[in-house]
Amino acid sequence: MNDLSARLETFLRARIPGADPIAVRDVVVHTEGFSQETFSFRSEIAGRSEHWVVKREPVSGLLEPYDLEPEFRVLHALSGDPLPSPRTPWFERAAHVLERPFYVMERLPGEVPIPVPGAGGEGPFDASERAALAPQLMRALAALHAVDWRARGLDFLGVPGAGDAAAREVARWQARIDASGLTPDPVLVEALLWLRRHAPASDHVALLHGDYRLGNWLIERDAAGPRLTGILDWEMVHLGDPIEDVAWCISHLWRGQTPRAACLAAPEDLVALYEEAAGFRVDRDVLRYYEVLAVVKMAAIMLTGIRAFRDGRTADLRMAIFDHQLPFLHALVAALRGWLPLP
Amino acid sequence: MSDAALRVSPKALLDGVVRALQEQVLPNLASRTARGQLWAAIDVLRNLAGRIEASVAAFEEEARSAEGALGALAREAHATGVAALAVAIDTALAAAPPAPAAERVEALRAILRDAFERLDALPAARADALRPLLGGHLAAQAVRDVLRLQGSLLEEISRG
Repeated sequence: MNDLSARLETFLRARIPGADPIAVRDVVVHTEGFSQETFSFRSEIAGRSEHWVVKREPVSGLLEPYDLEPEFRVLHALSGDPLPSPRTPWFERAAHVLERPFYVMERLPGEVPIPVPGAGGEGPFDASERAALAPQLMRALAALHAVDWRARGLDFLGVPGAGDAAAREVARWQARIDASGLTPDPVLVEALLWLRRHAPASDHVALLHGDYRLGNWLIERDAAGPRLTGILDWEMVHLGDPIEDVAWCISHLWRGQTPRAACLAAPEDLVALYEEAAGFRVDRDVLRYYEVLAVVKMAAIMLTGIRAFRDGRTADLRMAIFDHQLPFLHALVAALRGWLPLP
Repeated sequence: MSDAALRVSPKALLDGVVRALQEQVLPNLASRTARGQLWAAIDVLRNLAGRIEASVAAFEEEARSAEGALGALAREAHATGVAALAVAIDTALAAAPPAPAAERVEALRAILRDAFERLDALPAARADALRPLLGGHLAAQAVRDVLRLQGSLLEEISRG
């Protein structure tokens, strides 16, 4: 840890010329993430204390191969934006600094809610918190989708062709499944074929978070009520149909054994809040399409993790557990395709 | 027995558990008692790896269900004039290895994937009428697989 502190001090001296003295304190390695490596630290620069988070490329993981630079460039571009995204000033690719590429972002206040049912099966929020948070979360998502990504220079993310956003995403996730080298179950193959046949031709292209869900929200609770303070984990950021983000957010994957989408509200109510904030109607057939894609994406992520574990590239046992979890996704995708009743 | 139908064989799973315990847990254990217990657990797991096999009964159940669905699809395809699909399925079923169970299941899954691809090439109305003959198997198999498992980790994943 001392070595990490010293390396970060050297890094900060190089990035903030003339700032002296610089001290790095309280370095903590976080283990809860499934993908990138995360650690936090506090800097003291000329008597001023600030809290930071470092995201570093892992050796292997769920979204390999990794490239942190696009995510950094988006966060950096949004750093002055009213969106609750963390100010993200620095990216470093040179291996001599922290061995693998990393970026540094401001540590925002708040905590990530844990989506487990409470004693009364309530989930992480009580009724008043849900009522306060649901509109905030949907307003933030609509605000993200309203970002002028061309003006911010974010077209480097890859602009879908006319009406091509959905088909492009299906191809992207099919490629991830192929790259895992594991043959998908027939139920996933059937879903992929359905997705290819029914890809909606939307020309609405927005900046998508790609992983907008409960586990990536920072919530601060105080006397004024709960408040969204941060949107985290932008590694799946891309340009696409905004309904893709809405479908991921309301997916059965993140309901935490509650009947509520994102543990916040009935799915239809959450979508209505999004529509109100975004100012356009969400086509329910397109929404259902992207709900199927959401489960296929999660299956692709799990297959990637299973392969990394099987090959011995990670000793993280949570990757092995995915092998037992895939059948739940198979059942969910079968339900969304109409072969089973929906839970 | 073959592990052809498994994403991760029992041996690979146990090897991975042993590796994780040795590399990630053991170095962080200070208690001598706990270290002794963990070493013993690792030793048990290392010696277990060669002794366990995946359940043949589960593969046999899946095989019966898949054969039934594919057979029904082939018959219906014959009856409705989609002869090429029927012949392709019948030929593939005849060529599938009868045993061991894991290899038969793997072959049947491949036939299912191929059948879905072939259905996609048919006129939409005809394919839509035939596809549910396989959809029933997908649903039943998904339920069977889930019923064999313990609770889901998805809440943990949601923590970020």
